[in-house]
Amino acid sequence: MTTTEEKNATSQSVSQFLTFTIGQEHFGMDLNQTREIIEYAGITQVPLMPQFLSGVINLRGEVVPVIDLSVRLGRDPIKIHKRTCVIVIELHSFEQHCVLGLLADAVNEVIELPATDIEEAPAFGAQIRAEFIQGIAKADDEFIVLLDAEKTLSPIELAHLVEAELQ
Amino acid sequence: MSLDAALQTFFVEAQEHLESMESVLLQMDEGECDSEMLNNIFRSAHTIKGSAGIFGLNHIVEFTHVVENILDRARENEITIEAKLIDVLFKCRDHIQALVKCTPEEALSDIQLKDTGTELHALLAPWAAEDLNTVHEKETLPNIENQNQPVTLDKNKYWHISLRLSKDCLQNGMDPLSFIKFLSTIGEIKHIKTLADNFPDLASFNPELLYFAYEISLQSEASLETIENTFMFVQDGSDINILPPETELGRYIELIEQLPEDNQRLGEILIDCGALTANSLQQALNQQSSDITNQFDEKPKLGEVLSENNTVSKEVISAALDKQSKNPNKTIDNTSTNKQIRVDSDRLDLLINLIGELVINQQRIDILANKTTNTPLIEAVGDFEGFTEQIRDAALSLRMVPIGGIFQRFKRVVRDTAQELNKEIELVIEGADTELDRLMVEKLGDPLTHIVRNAMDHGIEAVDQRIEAGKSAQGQLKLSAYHEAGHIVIAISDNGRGIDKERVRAKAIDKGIIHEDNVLTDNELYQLIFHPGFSTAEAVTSISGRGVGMDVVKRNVESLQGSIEIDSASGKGSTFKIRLPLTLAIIDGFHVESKGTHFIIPQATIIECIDLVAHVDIEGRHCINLRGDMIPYLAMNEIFNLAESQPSTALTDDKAQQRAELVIVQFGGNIAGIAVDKLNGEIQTVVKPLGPIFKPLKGIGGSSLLGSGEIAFILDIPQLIELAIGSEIQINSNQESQR
Repeated sequence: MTTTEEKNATSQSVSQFLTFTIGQEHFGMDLNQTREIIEYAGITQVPLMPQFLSGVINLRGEVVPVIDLSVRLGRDPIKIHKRTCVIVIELHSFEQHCVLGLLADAVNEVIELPATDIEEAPAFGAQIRAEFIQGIAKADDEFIVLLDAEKTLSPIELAHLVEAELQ
Repeated sequence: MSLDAALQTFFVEAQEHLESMESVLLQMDEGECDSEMLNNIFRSAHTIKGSAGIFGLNHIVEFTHVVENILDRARENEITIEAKLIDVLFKCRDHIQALVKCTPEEALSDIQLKDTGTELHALLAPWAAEDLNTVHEKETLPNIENQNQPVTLDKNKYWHISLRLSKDCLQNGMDPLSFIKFLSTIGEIKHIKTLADNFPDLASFNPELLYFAYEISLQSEASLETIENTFMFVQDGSDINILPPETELGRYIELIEQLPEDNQRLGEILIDCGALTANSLQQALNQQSSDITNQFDEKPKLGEVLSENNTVSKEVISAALDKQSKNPNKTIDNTSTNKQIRVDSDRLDLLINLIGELVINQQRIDILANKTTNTPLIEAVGDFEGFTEQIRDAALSLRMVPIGGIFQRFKRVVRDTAQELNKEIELVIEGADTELDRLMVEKLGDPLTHIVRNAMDHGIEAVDQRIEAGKSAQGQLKLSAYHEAGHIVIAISDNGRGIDKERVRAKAIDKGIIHEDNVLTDNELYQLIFHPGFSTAEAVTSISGRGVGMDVVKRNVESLQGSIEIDSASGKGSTFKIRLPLTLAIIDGFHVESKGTHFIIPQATIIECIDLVAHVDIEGRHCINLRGDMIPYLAMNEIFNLAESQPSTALTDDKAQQRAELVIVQFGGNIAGIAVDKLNGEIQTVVKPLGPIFKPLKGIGGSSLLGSGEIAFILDIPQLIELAIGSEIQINSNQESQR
């Protein structure tokens, strides 16, 4: 209830998005869902996991799973380089809050978008599952795909994918 | 405290009182009965009613009131406790519990609940009506329209209650009106005066604060305790004075002195309320102010004032002093029996998590210190390690509760089920003070109930069958708990007919769970009982369900990192053993490595570590000859598909392969080996759950941080052993079917 209300409220005003780059593509994610950005400093692989699940990191005593968003969105695995970073996000719409890390090639900036500048996800041609996309925005002549973190990174769906991989 | 939180407190306390009622009833059922027990049970019922009244839960008040009256009569020796009454009281207790659990709306709409209530009231009637005149009868019968206790007017008892509630009581969700309303359910408010003296000017007025004070004159036969209990939830920060009827003048004077308002004005109010006469008040006040110059200790002086004045007799004063000295004693008694502090479990979990961090950091410091040659530093760090361990143990013990609490519940289950099944069953409890993690206790209730009911239904025979078999008519069910090798074992044993192996086998074949040719050990055969959809009872009864229970039992136990075993002898009985780890938060582990990936093996499961030398591969399955026994083992790099090219062991890969180590682990009577590259030694480790995403991953139960900051995976030994042995069964059956 509250989340939809919040969404309604924010869509009327201005929302803030964190933009980042994976490969050549620009993505955005609701700033309210992001917690922090850290430098990539190695990752512990978890045995037998599917490719999108890069591993786990030690975030100040918390063991946090890290997702390769590139694989999750149906692209090639991200290549680790010295600017690679991990965006730590927090999802609240589940019984317990869920903290996840996302690999990104670069984090760009925080942009403010009025609701009128956000267009609905195109029904086809996006090469990304439509339900993952919250909207499309245009800034500096570039398209930014605003991802719906709750859907893209739903722990329940990720667990199903892990289960499928294990079988 | 918000109203919700207060309600929560009410539920918790009501539950405790219900439990104490139950245990008293059980004692009574066994034929014990003394005034202390009667007082206890009365008090429980009474407190539930009182607290429910505060929250306006009239459905509870209504029903409990009648029960309370009966108990009160028993307490006064007007009726005797007999078996039939105990039965009804048991049912009443359950009904109160049902009422507490539902909302007032549900209680009103639930016809069945209402019927039960009326039925129980009717059942109680014989004890209520006996030896009573009509006035009393009216009092004890359910009075749905109005729960006001009829007051006998002849005694003319007036209580005086002086209420100075804490200013923030409105913010805490407490409405003074509800207390006053409740007072009117235990008596009649004769006079009430609201004092607005503290009311500030409008500019500084805060609508969320309470500025009013109340002087109440109450006519009631309730005890001081009842009236005090009314204000239980607002005691903090409030000034509440309750003067019993016929209190001597001095107490009123004292009260007037204590209260912040103007003395003379208060005096007038008390006169208004009829607590004092104008004359006696004036006299006492005058006398006292003249005596103040004498500089005596104030309290005896007041007594003197009064006796000199002949306002009250000396007798009354000494009686009042007695009363005063008794009351504080009483409160001390109450607090000393209740030495516990209620702590929010979340706060406790936070503390334990923080201590977990402390343990990790301590290990890091340990590593760093040992790299230096600074002996004093190393020694200091050593001491630090000792204290950290003590803190850890102390913190963990906070979460430990004796298992007796949950065992106690079964007294009732066994009593009722035995009656229902028409069997004679005695429950024996052993090791009730064995402690285990509170989280586990909560989750153990259901599985234990299931096993207990099963044992009573299928295990213990009917009386005639028992006599026929040459056993005593009364069957025995034993619940015991004890420590064994870093685990807690909870055993449920019965001296019934035992498990019929042939029938289990036939049933399993019939249900297609095993193949006719399968050769199973006794243990494997018994484990079939936990297979989903397996039930040996030819007649499905309401007691042990429809065979959907035992697999759930096993799952529940496994979710607590535990295991369950069955031991049975035909005609002699069976024993179910549940093994559980001591705690789920911090474990002693053994740190191993395989291809650069770190693993932790829970220390309690380890038997020994050996060099992996001569191993045999049978049908693609690894085995080793351990002093004559063939033991299956799992190679970590194979089952977890660990890459060969992990940096840390890449150079010595070949050597590591040759020098593989084998850790022999056991769980629930099964033994298997785990092959790794490197043994790194013992380590204390904090279990960090891996989260829902990794749930499907078998063999890894959680993760843990090493002193170096690296992440290690905690191996789930029961699952791994199952994997090692489970694959064995499968291969066996394949072989057989090939033949």
